[in-house]
Amino acid sequence: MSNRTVIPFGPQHPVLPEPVHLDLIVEDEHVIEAIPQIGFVHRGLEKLVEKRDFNQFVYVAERICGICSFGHGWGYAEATERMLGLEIPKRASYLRVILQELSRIHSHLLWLGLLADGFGFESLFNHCWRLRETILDIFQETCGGRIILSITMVGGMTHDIDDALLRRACEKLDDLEREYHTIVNTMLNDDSVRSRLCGVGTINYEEALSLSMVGPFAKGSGVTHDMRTTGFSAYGDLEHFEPIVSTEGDCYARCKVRCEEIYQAIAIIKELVAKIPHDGVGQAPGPKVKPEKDARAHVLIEQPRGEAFYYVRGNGTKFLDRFRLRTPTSQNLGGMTKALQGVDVADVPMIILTIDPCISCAER
Amino acid sequence: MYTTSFEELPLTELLVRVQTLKHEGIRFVQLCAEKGSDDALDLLYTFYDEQRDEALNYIVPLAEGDVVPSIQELYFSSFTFENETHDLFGVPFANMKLDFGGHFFNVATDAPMTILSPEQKAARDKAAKLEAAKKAKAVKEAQAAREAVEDSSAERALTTSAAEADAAAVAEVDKLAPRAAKVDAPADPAPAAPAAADASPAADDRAAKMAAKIAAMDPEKAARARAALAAKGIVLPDAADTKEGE
Amino acid sequence: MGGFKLGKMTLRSLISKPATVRYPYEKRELYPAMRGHLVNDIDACILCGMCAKVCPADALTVDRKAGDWTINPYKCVQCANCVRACPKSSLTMEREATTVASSMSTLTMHKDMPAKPARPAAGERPARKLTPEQEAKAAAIRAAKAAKAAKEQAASQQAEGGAE
Repeated sequence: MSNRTVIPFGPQHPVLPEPVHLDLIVEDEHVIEAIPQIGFVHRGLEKLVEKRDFNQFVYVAERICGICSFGHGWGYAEATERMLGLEIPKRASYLRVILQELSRIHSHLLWLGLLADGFGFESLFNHCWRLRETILDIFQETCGGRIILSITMVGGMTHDIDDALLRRACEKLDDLEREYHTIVNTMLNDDSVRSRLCGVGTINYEEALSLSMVGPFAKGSGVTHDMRTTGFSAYGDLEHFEPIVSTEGDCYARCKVRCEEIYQAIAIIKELVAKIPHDGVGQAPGPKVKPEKDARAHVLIEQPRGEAFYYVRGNGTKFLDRFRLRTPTSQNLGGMTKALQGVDVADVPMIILTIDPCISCAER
Repeated sequence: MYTTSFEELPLTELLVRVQTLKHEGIRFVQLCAEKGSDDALDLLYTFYDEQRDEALNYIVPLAEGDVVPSIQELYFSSFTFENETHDLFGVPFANMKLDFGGHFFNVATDAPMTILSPEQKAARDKAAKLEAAKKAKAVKEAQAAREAVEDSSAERALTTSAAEADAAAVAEVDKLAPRAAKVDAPADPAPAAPAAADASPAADDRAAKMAAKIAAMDPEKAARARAALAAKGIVLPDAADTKEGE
Repeated sequence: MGGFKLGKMTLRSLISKPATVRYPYEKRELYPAMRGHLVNDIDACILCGMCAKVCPADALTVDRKAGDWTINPYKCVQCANCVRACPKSSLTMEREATTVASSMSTLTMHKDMPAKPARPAAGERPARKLTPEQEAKAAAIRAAKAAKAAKEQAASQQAEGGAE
């Protein structure tokens, strides 16, 4: 007779980058259901908007997550600029998109290293993180910080990044692309990797739509939704942008989508650096600028893990009433529990890693 | 580029609207709760229409004790947000498909610290003071304008007789609408009279001032002025009578 | 052993230099844009307190009366908000990060601010010098006031005369 046991997975587990708790209801090595619980990294950052005025809060927003840090600063700054009705120069938009794409490369390289580490493929893990150091060097040279860039502010960017630095960054990206090519082919064509990832944790197209999944998690199942296609910010100036999708819907497909997004991001950066305008990077709003009472605005941007939603509401003082961040991971939790049904216990770490959870974003 | 829209939606219409959106195939983005500065809770539902590239936001105001119908039947991924809103804000949801009973978001305390920081309190007090000052100023200005109008009409009442006032008013109306002059003639004293008759709180002061002025004037002039005022319906205290009686 | 695909990379890394440096014996060259720790040029500083107001981490304290500018370098998040807010540009970000120590401490810089000059009493205050336009305006206002006063007096006199 089969009997069911409950295996607690997390919050502390070697494959998890961030703490999340899953109760796996297991019957004879097959997972029947997975019940998530979050709250281990809850810092109450949304409430902190009442204590730091809207200019200072950019620094808090950046520190919500260590991987998608620039995106959070950008999303908050753009939502506040929309609420205040501020226009930022085009160069600031271009710089923000370039830094966001660099952030995407860095996030995917980090993720690829973690996935390899989850297999036990530690040499690939170290090579990926060594390549990631190139990106961090670019960040440090242009903005001054490795992960927390602190270059976005409400009104534009705090200082300009001149063209020579941008061109040097492009050269470094060329070197990175060559080395990355070897690594990704090793990863995707390897037999043991394929046997662990192919056919595991499949979610088909209809389920992906009904569960409102976002990001590469959904793109692996054929959903073509990507906020960059709407052409917001400087994405509208790209010649051609098409999201990379795959139709199989299993872990291998999601892995392939992320690996190919790195090539796409490098191409986007090179295109934008070639045509960046030179009309200044904006300035801080003066001390007299305050949001009006009940002024609301929101933006949707494409983070490495999917679409993120930033909402701000003002109340007439320099402190905001509400800041809401909905991250792609909290939207994908439903998809994750669905993907975990019916798999072997040994496949659970792989599936969770291919979802690319960023729990500190999901809990703020 | 996508467009955004914010719309108020009463709680009773929520489920119907979400069903319509699901039928049209519109994607669910998020659900959150927010507290305005007047401590009233609102729910914000966001949907994204991919055909039209439009983000639809619905603001659902909540009163005390309102139970919100769950939309998990239609959009399952909202279970994260509904459980989170229930755990962090205390909003009750009915008919949840996946209900964690308050254990989804494990935090150490039951309620957040809602103490305002000193800077925030100072900023809110300052904004409230500015609003109050603006309102008081507006009220004062309206009062001053009214008094000025009354004073000018009172002056007119003393210096011109009723017939002259009628003639002047007729001339004004003729300027505006020549054809309607004959019809409006009986109504001409009306513009001058309501301005004087409206001043109920200061009417007595006005009357007393007028009485003093009349007492200081020629008896003939005084009589004419009294007649004019009587025509308008304003009766003065009999200060002149006492004087005449001396 | 099919698929020894990382062979070239592995063999190369056996021969070439390691990607890491042997810190603290060797140190990396730091980029000029790096934000390490905050430094204040106390002679240029006017102790206005703007930096303390904009700091999101509450790392700065400024006491104008006592003449002290204090920073807690372990609370500082190196965001450089204060550097941009300083009206006298006395703050700069140096490249090296705050060094490791066994206990946290704050750094205070002192500057004796000159006391504000006392306001002279009303009688001794020198008269303000007005520009020609201001003089003309003042004269016009005075003339208008005088004319109004005269008219009122005449009117009241007439009234009295009439009442007699």
